This record gives sequence, C-alpha cells and structure tokens, in this order.
Amino acid sequence: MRRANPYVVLSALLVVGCWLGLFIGPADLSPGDVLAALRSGGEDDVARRIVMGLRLPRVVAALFVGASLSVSGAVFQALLRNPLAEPYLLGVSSGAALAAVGAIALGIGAMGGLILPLAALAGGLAAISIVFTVARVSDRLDTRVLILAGVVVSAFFGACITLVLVFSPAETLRSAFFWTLGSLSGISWNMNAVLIAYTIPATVAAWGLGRHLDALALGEETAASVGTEVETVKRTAFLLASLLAAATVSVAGVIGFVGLVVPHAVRLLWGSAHRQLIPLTFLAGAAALVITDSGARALGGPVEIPIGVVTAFLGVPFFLVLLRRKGGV
Amino acid sequence: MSFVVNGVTVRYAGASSPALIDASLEFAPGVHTAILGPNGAGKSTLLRVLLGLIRPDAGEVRFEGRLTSAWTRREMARRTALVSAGEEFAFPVTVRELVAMGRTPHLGSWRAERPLDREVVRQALHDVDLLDLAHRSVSTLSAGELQRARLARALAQESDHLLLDEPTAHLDLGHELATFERIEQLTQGKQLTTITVTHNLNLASRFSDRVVLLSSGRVTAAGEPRQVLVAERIEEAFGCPVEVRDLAELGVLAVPTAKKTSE
Repeated sequence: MRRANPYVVLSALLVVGCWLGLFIGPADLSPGDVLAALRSGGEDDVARRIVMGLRLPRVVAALFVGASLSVSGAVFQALLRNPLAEPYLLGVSSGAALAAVGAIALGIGAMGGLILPLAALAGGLAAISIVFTVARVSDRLDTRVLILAGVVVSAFFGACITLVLVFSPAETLRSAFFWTLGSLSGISWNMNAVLIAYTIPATVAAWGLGRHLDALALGEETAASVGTEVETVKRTAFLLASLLAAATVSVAGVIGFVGLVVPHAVRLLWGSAHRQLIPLTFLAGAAALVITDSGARALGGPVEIPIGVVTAFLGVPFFLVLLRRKGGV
Repeated sequence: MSFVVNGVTVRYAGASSPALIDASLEFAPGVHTAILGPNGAGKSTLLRVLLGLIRPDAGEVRFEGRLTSAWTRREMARRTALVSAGEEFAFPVTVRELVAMGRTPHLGSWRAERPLDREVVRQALHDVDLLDLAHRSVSTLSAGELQRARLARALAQESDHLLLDEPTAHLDLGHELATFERIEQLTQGKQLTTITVTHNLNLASRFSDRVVLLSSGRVTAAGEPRQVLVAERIEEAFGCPVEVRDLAELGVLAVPTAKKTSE
C-alpha cells in the first residue's frame, strides 16, 4: 500500500478545520451566508461582522498558535534531547503569566488594545533571558542546566503569581485565572499580525536548522564532527523556540498539550528527520488547534470550555492509542 | 603532515590531573595509526584535540598546517570524520537517516539532498553491507550492525581522514576482526589517513602502520608496532605483567600474566 503524502493529508485536515471554524458558532449562519460574508467587499451586515470580525480572526489565531506551539515543542525536544520537553518548560509561560496577571491586578490590563499581549511578551522574554544567562557557562549552553534553570524559574514565577492573586479582589482573580487557562477568543487582527510576524520567520529559520537538529539528537560531539557549529545552533534553537512560545502566550495565554503531543505524533507517523518534521509539525499543530477550537465551540454552547481542557481531552486518547500502536516514543 | 600536535596539555575542569600532558606527535597522510593505552590515559582526549573538539590549555594543534581553531566545523567535517565510542539516540532514526547525516558538511543548512548525495549514502551503506537494513530503525540493530552504520556515516562524509574511538567496543572476537579488516580494506582503497583508539593491542599491531602508546596523559612511545609493543613498555603503561609473543603476520600478542603480589 502506498502511503498518502503527509503534506497533502495535513493540509486537507487544516482546510477542513478552517471551514468548520468559520461555520460553527452561536449565530446561526448558513454556509451561503458565510461565503457571502467572506466574498463581500464593503457591505457591513451582521453576517460579515460575525465572520470577518469574530470567526476568521479566531481561526487564524488558532492556526498560528497551534503551529507555533508545535514547532516550538519540536525544537525544544531536539535541543534538550528530551521527549518531555514542551514550549512552556523553560519558563516562558510563567514569566508571561506573571506579567499578564500583574498587569490585570494593577488595572492596566483592562485598558485593552495590545497592552496585555505586550506585557505578557515582555514577561516571557524576561524569563527566557534569565534562564539563558544562568545556563550559559563560559560561552557554552549546558542543556541540562537549561532544563533545571527553566523549571526553577517557572516555579519562582508561579509562586509570585500566587502571591499577587492572594491579595487580589475576586474580579481580578477570575480574569487572571482565565488568562492562565488560555483562550482564543477576542484575538484581534492586530494581535494576529504580531503572531504571524513571529511565527513565519521563526518556523523558516527552524526548518533551516533541521539538519543540525538531527545531528544534535545524536549528541553534541557527533553533531560537531559532521560539521554543526554546536553552540550557535543551540543558541539559535533556544531563541527561536522561546520566541515562538512567547508570541503564542502573549496573545492566547497558556494552552497546554499541543506543543508536547503534536511533534511526537508527527515523529511516530512520519519519522524524526527535522527537515520534514518542522514543516509537518507546523501543519499538524495548526490543524489540531483549529479543529479542537471548532469542536470546543460546538460543544460548549454558552459556556466557553477552556481550549487547554479540550486539547487534553482530545489529545490524550489519540496519543495513547498512537503510542500503543507504534510502541514507544 | 596531516596533524601536528605540539606540547599540548588538556586539563578538564575539576580534574585532579591533566588528561593530556605536553603531548607532541605528528600524523602523516595515508598512515594508519593506532592509539593505545590504559583507561584514562588520554586516548580519547587526544582524538578530540586533533579534531578541534577540545581546545588545548597549552600548546597547539595544526591540521594541514593551520591551527585547528581556525577551521570552521564545516570545513573540518569535509576533511575529517569521527566514529565516536557511543551515541545515544534521543529519537528513533532509521539507518539511512543516520548515514545521511554524514552529508551535512556538504549540504549545509538549506540545500536539499541531490542525486549525488543519495548515491554517496547508498555506496556507504553498500560498503558496510547494510543496504538491506537501510529503512530499519537504529534501535533494532545489533551492536555490530550499529557500529557499521556509524562507520557508514563517517564514509558518507567523504573525508580523507578517518578517526575512530574504540570502534570495536562491545563487539565479540569475530566482529572485532571483521571491523579491523573492513577499516583496512576501505581505507587502503581510498588512501585515507586513519587514527584508531583501541584496547586491542593484537589487532592494532596487525592492522596499523604505527602505534602511539599513552599512559597517564603522557605519550610514552610512538613508532612501529613491534618496536613499541614490547613487554616492559606494556607493563609500565598498563601496570600489569605481560607475556609478549610475536605471531609474525598475525601481529604481536600480549597476554597478561598473574599480578605480582609483593612479599
């Protein structure tokens, strides 16, 4: 049996997911209404406002958040040589969450616009700078120290968040809580633009590292012996994966599981060569989150189920079945 | 000269004594050199210093007349290939993927595999008799097959210098001999300069043109196998009494005898 081209399979899934995302929602729009809204030029009716103002930006956000998290996870797993690595392992999420919760608690988060995302981005970047500085010993980046430093910095920021929340009124507590659960609602075109500006170049750069990530998976010495500038590649990979994670956290909060499971699923199905893994992971992550988010909206009704809960509910069984069928990571 | 090592000392952070002390050696092109010595004598360190993977704390190392620190990794990988003692696979890779990594210095970051690269990989797999296993996961290979796959990766680099760190570790008698025979056959055909770290004195004396004996970080002897591998030198280096027999074309055999107990 000839196996289907993975790029075709995943692209088809992504297209299906995008259509679902545009059709599903509380407002009862027919496929004709949606198509008309997408095609209409300047007419400003209800359908157009729902499709172009709410559903399409949400689908675009889900696509790029899913893709970024998955590529970030794949790069972190290769860099740290650790199958448990995921985008939030090294403290990006806790740094971003602390900054966001702080902004909410101080009241400036409610001012809207890009303030909350930018605060979160700054927090995430601050966290990775600390981790990077700690793990850099005499011009070398020690990946074992990197993991430990990341986990410790995460724990510290987590404690800081708890402290802020304890002294916060209930309303702040609720919005901060929802932020840390992650959400794809209310992502504006401006936020999407920022996200895309990070995602596309970082993914292309990660693809360019592919051959070196393959070599690094065999150890630093082997990588150096086949011509990889190990320290440069490690620094670049860390920077790219962290930026991708920070960009997603800043617009969508913390969405667990996608960045851990999607790269593994792609590896199990189509192998671990990174020049193929990176683009496939991009497509698979995009499709996974777009479809999951559509499903969450279809099921949830008036209450929005946090997207991270849905990714876990759908992802865990899928991944366990895959693990058992293929036997091992 | 391929490699020139001049007064090199390497001290690892936290180690009580240097791993390599004031080592000076030359490696001529086309010669097969075996590096011998007890555990911790500095054999692997010497190999890594030659490749520029470790910077010496004192002294200098030149490859083709140029300081190793002045070579980029990519330039170096086109001229030298390393078969290291052990690698752990963080993720499952197939035999072909492992061997294809040897094309990295020729392809760089962006270029896709060309027909030429695929042919080199195929030839390397053929050279080590692994064509049939090309699409197997490396985790399913035996120790001998895995070692051959890693040798094939080094061959796929098409470098004219081949450095091997204990290529026969974990291999039985027959596979050990097969490995040395294969290396000899492959390197003589291609005029490669070969440097092999090994614990097998017998096969080293039989298959190499020259041996270097290390002990406690110092080069204690270098020269033709029969001149270096004499009982007193081996006893001094390895700290155990040996009987040495010259087996003519089968090389030199050193057999440890009973450890002398002080009365």
